[in-house]
Amino acid sequence: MSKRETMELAIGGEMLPMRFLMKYSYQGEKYAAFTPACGADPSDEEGVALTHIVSAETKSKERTRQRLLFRLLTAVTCILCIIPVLCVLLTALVFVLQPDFWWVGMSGMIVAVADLIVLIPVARALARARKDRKEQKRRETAYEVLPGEGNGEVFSEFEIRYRIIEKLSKNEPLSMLEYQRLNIWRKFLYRSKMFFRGIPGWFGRKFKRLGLRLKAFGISIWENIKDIGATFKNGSWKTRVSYFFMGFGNLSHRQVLRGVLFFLFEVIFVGFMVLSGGHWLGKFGTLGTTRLEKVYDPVLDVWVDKHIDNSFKILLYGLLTIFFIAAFVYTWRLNVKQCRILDEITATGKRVKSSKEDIQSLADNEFHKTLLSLPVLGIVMFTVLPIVFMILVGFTSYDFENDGYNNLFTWCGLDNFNRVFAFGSKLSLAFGEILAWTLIWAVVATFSNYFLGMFVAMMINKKGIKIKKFWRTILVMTIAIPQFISLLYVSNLFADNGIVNATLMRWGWIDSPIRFWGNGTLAKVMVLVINIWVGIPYLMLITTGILMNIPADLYESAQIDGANAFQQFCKITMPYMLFVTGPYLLTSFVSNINNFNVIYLLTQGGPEHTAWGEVGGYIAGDTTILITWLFGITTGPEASYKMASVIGTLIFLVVSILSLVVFTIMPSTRREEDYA
Amino acid sequence: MTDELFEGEVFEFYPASEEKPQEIVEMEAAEDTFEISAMPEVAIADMVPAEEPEENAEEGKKKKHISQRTKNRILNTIIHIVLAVMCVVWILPFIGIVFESFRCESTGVVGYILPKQWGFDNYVRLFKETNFPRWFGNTLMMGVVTAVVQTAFQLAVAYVLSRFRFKGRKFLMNLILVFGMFPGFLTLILLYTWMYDWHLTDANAPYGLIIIYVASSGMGYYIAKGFFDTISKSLDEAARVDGATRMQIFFKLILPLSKPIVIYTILMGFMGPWGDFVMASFMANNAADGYNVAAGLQWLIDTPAKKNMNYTTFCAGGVVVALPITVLFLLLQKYYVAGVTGGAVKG
Repeated sequence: MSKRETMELAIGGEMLPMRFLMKYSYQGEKYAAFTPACGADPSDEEGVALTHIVSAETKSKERTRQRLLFRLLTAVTCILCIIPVLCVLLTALVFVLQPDFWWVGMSGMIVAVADLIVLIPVARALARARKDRKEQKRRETAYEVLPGEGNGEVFSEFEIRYRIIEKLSKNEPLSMLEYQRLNIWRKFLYRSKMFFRGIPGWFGRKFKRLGLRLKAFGISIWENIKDIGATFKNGSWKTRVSYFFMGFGNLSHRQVLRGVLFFLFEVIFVGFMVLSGGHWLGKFGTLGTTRLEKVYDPVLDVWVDKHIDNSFKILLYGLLTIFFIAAFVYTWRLNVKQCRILDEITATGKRVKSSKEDIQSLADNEFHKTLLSLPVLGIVMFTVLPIVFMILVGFTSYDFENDGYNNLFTWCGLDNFNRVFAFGSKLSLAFGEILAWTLIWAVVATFSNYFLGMFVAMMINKKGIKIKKFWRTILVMTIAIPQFISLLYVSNLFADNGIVNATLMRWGWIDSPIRFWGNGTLAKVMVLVINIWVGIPYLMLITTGILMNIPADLYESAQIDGANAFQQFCKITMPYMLFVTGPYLLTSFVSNINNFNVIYLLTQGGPEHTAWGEVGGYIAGDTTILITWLFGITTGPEASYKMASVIGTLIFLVVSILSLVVFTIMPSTRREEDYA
Repeated sequence: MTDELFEGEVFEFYPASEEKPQEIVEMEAAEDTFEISAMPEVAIADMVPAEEPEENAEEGKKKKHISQRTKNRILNTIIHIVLAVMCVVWILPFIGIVFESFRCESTGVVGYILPKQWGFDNYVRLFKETNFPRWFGNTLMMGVVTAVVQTAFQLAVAYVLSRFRFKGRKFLMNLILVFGMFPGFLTLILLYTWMYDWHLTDANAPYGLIIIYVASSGMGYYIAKGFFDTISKSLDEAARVDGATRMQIFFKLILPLSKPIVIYTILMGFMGPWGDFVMASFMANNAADGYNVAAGLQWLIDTPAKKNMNYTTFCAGGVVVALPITVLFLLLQKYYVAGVTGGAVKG
């Protein structure tokens, strides 16, 4: 961007949003700052922050520094370039002459690779420094002879950089404009530094908030108890009766519907507690004490099972009873509150709502209660309750042998968790490796699908590509076909006697079949590749829509500024996509951690791992991820339900912690205004 | 297929051939000579001169123009080839399945694609000798019931969470979020025991499965909620002013406006049971009458010996299952795209 343009921005720019300025400022090479007199909003801290005057003295100092930096960087780059060549030569020599000392060669290779990795940022810095120098020279000739043109102060790239470095070394937060000046690596460093520096404060805030919540919770309970007491003391006799016969207050005020429902609920609750609830709850602490016995039945002349206790049922129905009690306490409290409100209404002489009005309001203002009742009941009964139950199982000794019927099981504290974390045991070894592979799998599967899917979408969308619809339809069609069919077929395709191997052998490319599913590493690669095959159509669909939503003027202005296709992709498409699909990436990461189908249908956990072989009654192989392991343990011959529960709980912990971290550093939650 | 989404203007990734960095450098150089006072106060976009470049640059421009166009053409050809290869890779396994299903000379896994002897033997065997019709019926029933009830549940939850502000809303959303992160299989054993008590396993597994699918379906409200959020709330308010109740608003105003998402939810609900393999095989517990198609077909080839006997039959079953779903899917593809895209954007 030229200086004139900058001036225009500033002059006409009272209302121009900051992001507009930003967009131009950090793409152009020259860097302009706006003084308040120049027309930019004086309250805009970004603009003011950059407005500082550097004296001629410091300028010359910086020039010296710049020159030194440039020379240093050149020297370092030269050295770094020579090292890998030497390393490769050394490695080649060692491998040819002294194969026994392979580790020397290997370390040479590692050094070379590390060196190359270091070389990249250094080379970038060098390129920057060169540009700075050129820029500096141009500035000196172009602008310094025209001091005070307009009212804008112009700073060289170097001056700004110096300021940023100063800020970084002092650990001061950068302004958004300054942050944009950093290169990718620096941005990453800065962001991660800020993230880790923020962790203590974050936890502090969370704990503080948790404390406040607990306090508020305690207070509200205390208030409730006080209110219950006060209502009993001050209420009418009808209210007092409703303390024992729920719904009496409502009935006496002619709210028949509510009264009957309350009373019915109480009857059901008392009946349940007397008939079975109390029984289950009483045994909940021990999960049963009397074992199964064989009793001789003299009438029928057979031995029959006389089972006294069933731990499984005790645990389940005990839990259900606890849920029920909680629901009852809540309803009872509601009942008391309603009686008080009724008392108040009658005291002011107003009319109470009739049953008919109640029903009407369920279709109107209280419509959400009607809509939510069944789904929420379903969620509580079939998701919340079972999950709480299975978490509790992790703290018991429930497995195939102690199944609660033939042999009782009981609480055993943290024993199962200790087994997983017992360092050096087969189980903990397996857990560690499977967890690592699960995470690798989830990360690679998510991102490979994401980028390749986006790439395919861009290819199809490119101008000049014919029959776009045809390509899309072919890809989309594959989504429709149930995975168990396609994956089982593909799994057989790559089997030892499958089509791929047979064809390759017929062509004479290989002599013996490639064991795609027999070799751990190969199986892992295959699973990832086939997952790409599964995932691309889906991502293609999603990204096509979003790509078309990117405002075209962004690309136009980028083209005018001279950005090439790759730069446009990096600076416009990628940030936009990441911003919009951030939440989706997170959900797809979570669902990949729990991606059972691909792994199980392809390899069933695949080739047996030599280090541990059979764990928990299930052969956990190389491609086993936590979820298939969990399934294997649950359905395997030993059916160690307690370990399955422990693993399930751990999966939950991993997933939730990762989601929390990702949510915190995700751009969508940070810079919402950028693309708003 | 009529996907409106893709019609009309197409997103363009590569710069058009006319605009070249070369030109822009020139423009910038020219701009520096402008005088500020001479410039009117207009938006930046208008200030970029759109005029033809200088005469002396004409020659170079033409040359570059041609090369750019050739480059673009080569690139397009490459992309066409890549896309064609991709399509083959993506479609080949399905063609393979169809070929396998018509193979008559053997029933196991073989190393070639084209059958040596064509015929309908596998289909005949599929319908005569296996329980496939029963499995298909089971799955169809599950699909229809699940689609209906799940749609009702999901839309209800989504609508409430999008439009109502009530005490406990945040709590409910957090509850669903947290419990959604638990792996679903964890509850398998409990649900089995539970359903066993109600005699809804083994041969009756489809009914138990319906309950399981449907009961928690409110948890997948996200996509529908994202869609409802985009419908302006002023519509609701206008209807309220006119005296409509909330229920009337939901049924008469919001639902007709949400056709894509309703169809998407139905489609997802219907397709779910066809692909579910874990729950179905676990609940049916080796009672072949209770399988759905996924569990049943997998059961046909779950040991090497059975695979040798039934592999082609399995492929025939796959074709029979995939065909109606694919047709349905292609017909409703527009709605699927709308749902998926909306869901991804809203998270």
